[in-house]
Amino acid sequence: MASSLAADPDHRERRESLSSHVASAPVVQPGMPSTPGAISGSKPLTRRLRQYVWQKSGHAMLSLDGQPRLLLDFAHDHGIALSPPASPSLAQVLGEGFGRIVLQELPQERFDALAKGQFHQPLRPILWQVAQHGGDWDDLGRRLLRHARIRLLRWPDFRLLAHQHDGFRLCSLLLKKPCTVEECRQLLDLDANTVEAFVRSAYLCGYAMVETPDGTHEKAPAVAAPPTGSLLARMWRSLRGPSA
Amino acid sequence: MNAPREHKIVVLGAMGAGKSTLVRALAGDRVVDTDVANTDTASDKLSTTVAMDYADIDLPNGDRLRLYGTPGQARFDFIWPVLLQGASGVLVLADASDTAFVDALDRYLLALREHAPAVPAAIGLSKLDLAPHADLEACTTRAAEVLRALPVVPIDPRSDAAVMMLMDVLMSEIEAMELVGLHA
Amino acid sequence: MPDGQSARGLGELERANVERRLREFSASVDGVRTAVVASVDGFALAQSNPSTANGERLAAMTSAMLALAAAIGRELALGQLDVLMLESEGGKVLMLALKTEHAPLLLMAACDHRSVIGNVLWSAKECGRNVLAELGGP
Repeated sequence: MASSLAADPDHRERRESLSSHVASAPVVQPGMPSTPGAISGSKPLTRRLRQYVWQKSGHAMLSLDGQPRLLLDFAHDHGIALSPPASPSLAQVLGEGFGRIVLQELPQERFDALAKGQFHQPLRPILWQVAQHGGDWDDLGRRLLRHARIRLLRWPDFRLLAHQHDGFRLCSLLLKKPCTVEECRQLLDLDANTVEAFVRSAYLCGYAMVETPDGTHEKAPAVAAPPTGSLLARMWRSLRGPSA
Repeated sequence: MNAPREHKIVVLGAMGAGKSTLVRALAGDRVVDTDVANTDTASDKLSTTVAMDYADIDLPNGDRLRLYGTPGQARFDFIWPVLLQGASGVLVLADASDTAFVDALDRYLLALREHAPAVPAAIGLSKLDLAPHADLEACTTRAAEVLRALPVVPIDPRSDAAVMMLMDVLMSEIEAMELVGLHA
Repeated sequence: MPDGQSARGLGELERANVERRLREFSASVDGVRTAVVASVDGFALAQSNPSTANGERLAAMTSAMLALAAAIGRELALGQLDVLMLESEGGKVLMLALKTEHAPLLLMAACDHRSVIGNVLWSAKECGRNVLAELGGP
């Protein structure tokens, strides 16, 4: 579908006028006084995106290093990639540059004008993937390091989880018991990066909350017995072989 | 050496949701079935399960996985508690092409609440291709209201890969239940 | 979900005739408490005493029991299943599969301790033949 759009001369014209529209929009650098509706910095950006996802309303645009990258429609859970890079993927580009992204709120009519005729994709998988690529997430990273407990609120849509078995296991665990990254690591025998990437994605997409313990930093509670996991689950996985 | 253990997985769900198909996808032609002619004109299925489907799968350590498909119709609900006894895990299949599929889930969720409240479970939602706008959220919410937060996994019971993924999710639930139980 | 509201039952007259046969059968042998004819997938088609609440239930259970018995029969290569007998402290239950051109019909007889199994079985088989005759022959 995207390729047939690209061939359509009306589409090309819209894209050209889009980039000229956008070039004239003010770009906000961190530290500069912000224009109304523009947000940047990983913590404010994360907070605002979570809000939008929860509310399921609103429209916005994400720009990186002055270039508009993604239009977002939170009501319909749609994302529109603008001048998508061939490689690496848009999600990776945005993930690694997360701290430099500028979010601009868009009124409905402006969004409609920019989005007209463009290829709409489901948005949450894009956000999930952006978060998988980590990058510049100071605030969340620090909290996780300080033994914050992660609490999952509900099962994420399976289209986000895809076939990531480690994701399933983390969801099953965190829905029953809020745990720290370290506890997840030990109980499920996973590496910290896997756990943290999952937490970032679940957090950004509104499925998880991170509760920083108050007061002084507690030592991560020791896991009482060596984790054996569930015998049945392990047997099942070895039956499944390397695909599991 | 320990005696080999049996692990029982039971498949509940509405008539036509794909329970027998799923058991067959997991165990191939080794399934023992109790399919008979369907005389209910409200369904165009030619046959229906009236007692159970049974299959077993050998696990690498010598343990055995026993699969039990169940009949979905309410008149056979006396069988469900019998089959749920000693279950290690439960799959509940729902047919998304039924406009009332969320309500239809109630009877199985309630059966679990009564007979197997602490048994790990996962919901498999089939025929989403026929109902692309089916409300998965409503399904997730209903499960949480009646029983507890359950994964709702879109599947095609005819697809080996999809069925395996549903089992993977169930296994994650089984594992987590045990882990949380240990450290609760 | 289909749950039997539109199950194909018997016509009024057919049902009345079959129920008459079931009552004859109950009267002809000591100890038969109730008799039910069911479809192979567990719908009650006729009952010797329709007023008792559990005919529907018994029909479903009969269907499940016979299907399981048939599965065991297949496992042991015993050929077609005819009769399943249960014996308990307080009574006996006989379940018969009545062969027709299409799917079998099921006949269930619940008996108390007075019943003599051989007599009940003989009469039940005769009842089965009569029921099939009422429905236009096997």
